[in-house]
Amino acid sequence: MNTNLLDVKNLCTYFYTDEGVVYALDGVSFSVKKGETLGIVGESGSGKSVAALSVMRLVQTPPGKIVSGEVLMNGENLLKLSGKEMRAVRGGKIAMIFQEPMTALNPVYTIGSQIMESPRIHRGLSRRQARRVAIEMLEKVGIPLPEKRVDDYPHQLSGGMRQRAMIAIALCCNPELLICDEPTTALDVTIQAQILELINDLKKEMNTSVLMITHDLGVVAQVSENVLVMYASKVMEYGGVKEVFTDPCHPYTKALLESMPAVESGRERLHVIEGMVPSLSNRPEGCLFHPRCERRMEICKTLRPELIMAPAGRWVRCWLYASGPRTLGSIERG
Amino acid sequence: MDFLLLKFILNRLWQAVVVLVGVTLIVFVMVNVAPGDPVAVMMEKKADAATIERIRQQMGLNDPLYVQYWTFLKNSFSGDFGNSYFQKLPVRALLARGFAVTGSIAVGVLLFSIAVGILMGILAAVFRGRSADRLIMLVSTLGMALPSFWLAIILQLVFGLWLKVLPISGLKSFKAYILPSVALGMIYAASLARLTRTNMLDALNQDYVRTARSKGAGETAVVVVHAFRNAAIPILTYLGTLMKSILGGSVLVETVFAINGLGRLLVDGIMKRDIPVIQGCTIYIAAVFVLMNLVIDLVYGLIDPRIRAAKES
Amino acid sequence: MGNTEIENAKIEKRLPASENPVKFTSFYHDAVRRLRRDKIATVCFVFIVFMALTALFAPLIAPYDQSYQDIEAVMSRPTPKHWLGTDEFGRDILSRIVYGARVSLAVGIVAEAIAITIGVVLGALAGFYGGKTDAVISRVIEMFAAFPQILFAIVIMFVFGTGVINVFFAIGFVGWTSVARVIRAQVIQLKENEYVEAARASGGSNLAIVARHLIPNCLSTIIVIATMEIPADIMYEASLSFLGLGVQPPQSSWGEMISVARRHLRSNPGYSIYPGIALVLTVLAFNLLGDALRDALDPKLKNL
Repeated sequence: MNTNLLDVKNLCTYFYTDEGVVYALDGVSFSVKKGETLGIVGESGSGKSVAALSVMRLVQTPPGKIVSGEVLMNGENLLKLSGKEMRAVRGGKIAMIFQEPMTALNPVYTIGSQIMESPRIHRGLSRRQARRVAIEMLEKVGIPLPEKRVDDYPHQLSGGMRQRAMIAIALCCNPELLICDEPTTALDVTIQAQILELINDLKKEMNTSVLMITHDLGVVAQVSENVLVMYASKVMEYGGVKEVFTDPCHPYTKALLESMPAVESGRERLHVIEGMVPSLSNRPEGCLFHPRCERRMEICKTLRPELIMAPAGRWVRCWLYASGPRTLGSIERG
Repeated sequence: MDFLLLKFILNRLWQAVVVLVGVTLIVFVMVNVAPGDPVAVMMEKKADAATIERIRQQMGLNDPLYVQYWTFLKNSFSGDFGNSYFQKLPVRALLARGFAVTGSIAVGVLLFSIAVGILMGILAAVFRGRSADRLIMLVSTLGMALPSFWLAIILQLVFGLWLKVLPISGLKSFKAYILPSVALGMIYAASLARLTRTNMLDALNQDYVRTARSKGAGETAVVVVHAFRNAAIPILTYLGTLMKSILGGSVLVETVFAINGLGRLLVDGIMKRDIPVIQGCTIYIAAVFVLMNLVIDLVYGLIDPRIRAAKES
Repeated sequence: MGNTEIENAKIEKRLPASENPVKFTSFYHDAVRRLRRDKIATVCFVFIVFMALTALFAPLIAPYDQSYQDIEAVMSRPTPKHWLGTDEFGRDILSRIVYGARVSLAVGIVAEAIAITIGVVLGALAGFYGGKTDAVISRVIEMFAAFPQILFAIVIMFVFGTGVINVFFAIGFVGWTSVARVIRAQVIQLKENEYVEAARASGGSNLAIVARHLIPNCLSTIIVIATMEIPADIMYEASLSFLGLGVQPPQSSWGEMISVARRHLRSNPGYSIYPGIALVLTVLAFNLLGDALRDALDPKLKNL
């Protein structure tokens, strides 16, 4: 019955720093179906990268700690696995691509040897077999002359080529889930499009599910079926990409969409969301977004809304859609 | 690429030669500035003025300085430093004997300091902020303040005189190497531990370490293969300076443990004003250091592909 | 706070190029505040001041003169009369350690001052003029740096002869290369700054630029290097004296004491131990203070 590859339930990840507890991820739930792409969007500091690292259990401990929740992969809770079992998952069933391909690649090893590492760990391949895999993967991700490039060092490749190599590293063990953490942010616009296309193509070819983490709504629109909008450690809105983007429910989603430059819309001025993302160690009371919200109501200042199913058929965390207090809001709006 | 590499090597070789010529010049100037007539010293006040003058003539000491220096330079590069005034042996033979001894101590010191220092540094970085880290840092801070000659005496006292488990002089058995190696190696082990820790912490915070973890690599592989290989680059450059300091510092433990190495040879030479020995020792040691740095520079290029690229272009 | 700002303004007005980024007062106030919060650094500083006072007032503090011989108590163990015992001539060990502090601290200060003078001048010249000047000075630095420091100091002692004054020079000549390297690198970096351009544009001579802009900007680096090199200098002095090439008896120095004490290790181990402890504590205090100063003033020297 459950066709979900990944079910994240009520995940909480906190960082215990000298300045206090930072609630980086607070009760986040989402799921990814087989072959589906879920986009997680949010401004920097919204906790979206921590979500990715928490799924991989790569949050640096200390100061970080996954406090509660479940990460179910094919029904198995990854948070309950031993260190050794988890290592078998990382790079095997779940692989990850990072934002900055220059620093994410080890400067003192060749591209080839860095691709070969996963197949040697997870598939027990010999050096020679792994090298063949590396060359195949380089070809697959569209790097010309893979037999030669396999012996290149990261600094000898361009940014786009490096990210392609990174993708080759991630996909060389046929992972069921690929987590991309801002994979195109550090790249030129033209290269960005190529990389996204490559990820999309490979996803279809290998029937991989993708978790696409980005601040760029355009990227989400281009590659994902579903989208999760995060704000200050919590999910604000969660649903199908088309629905959310054409008819956003949450005022924050709306504001985000309006702040996006869109060529065809002909809007003259970009909308700017007033204020700043709240500090995650000192969050406002009530709705986390209320200090910046244009449709703020009295209740928003004191009571934190729950994630509820809005009439539009998707999950929203906003008092506007709660039946009871909604009247309160209507009164205020007069 | 090979041509560029060759050019790089030749360039470094040329620099090394320039430095070596400079070294001979420094030594030559210092020896000539030093008070006292070498011939009078050599004859141990037994010769009359006429004899001294005759020997001066024979030794070329009456030639103009630049002629003397030229001879000296030529002899130095061919490894001929003349005969010791007192031991009546070619300095070259004394140097060879001394270097064999000092070299063996240096190997002991190097092994001790690298093994202990790097291991402790890695452990401290891996357990950063915890009690293991604090203990290692405390010990290394103390270690950096311990003068080798004093530590040597304390070690003699504890392990030789009180516990009676290790010999306190000479180099007759393997056990005899332990105390000199620890005494001289402590300060270098301590500084290596700190250097390794700093560089390992830096490396462990890099994105590529996270990438390695995301591939499912084990913690040992992450620390050793991914982080340490990067942290090793600055450590390697430090090893050149380390070898130089060990060659120098050896004189102190040689004195304490009554070992006749290069350092003792130099100090005895100085006490007796045995000029050929002084010249031979200083130039020989400096040459070893310059050549070692040359080797390290070349190895450095092999380990770090970025450096190689920078030097090639 | 208001005061410092006014002072800053004054300083900046005095300098022809007003872009000078050295905010003397606030920068150093900040550093001092950070240092005072550092407990270890404070303890070390207090200890160093204590040692300096001991050295300065050695005749008042030491129970006996450094060369006074108590014939009735030769090689005695610690007694109420001689807290740390006596040496082979019946001289009070504690008193000799107190007097030894004079040599150690004097060497630390004077030798480092010599090293810094040579190092700053040559390093600044190399960095500022670049090109051939730089190449020549850099090679010279390499030549001098090719000798192990302690052996080089030994050879210089051979040339000049033993004695405290010569120890100053020997150690100073040994230490200048590391100073020169750091200053050269920093000057190369600094001279690209706008305020140097501005000073040049307003007609400042090269010497004025180096002396008024570059060297003051290297000041915190110089302070850090000095604090970090002083303990090394103290160690070199002890080593030279230990080898019999430094300070000569009857003047006392910790290294010289350890050298003599070594012969009496069986009969009087304390004689070897106590001067060493004084040496270790002094070096330790300078090392720790140097680390703290570096962190407060110039964190980029971390790998020095």
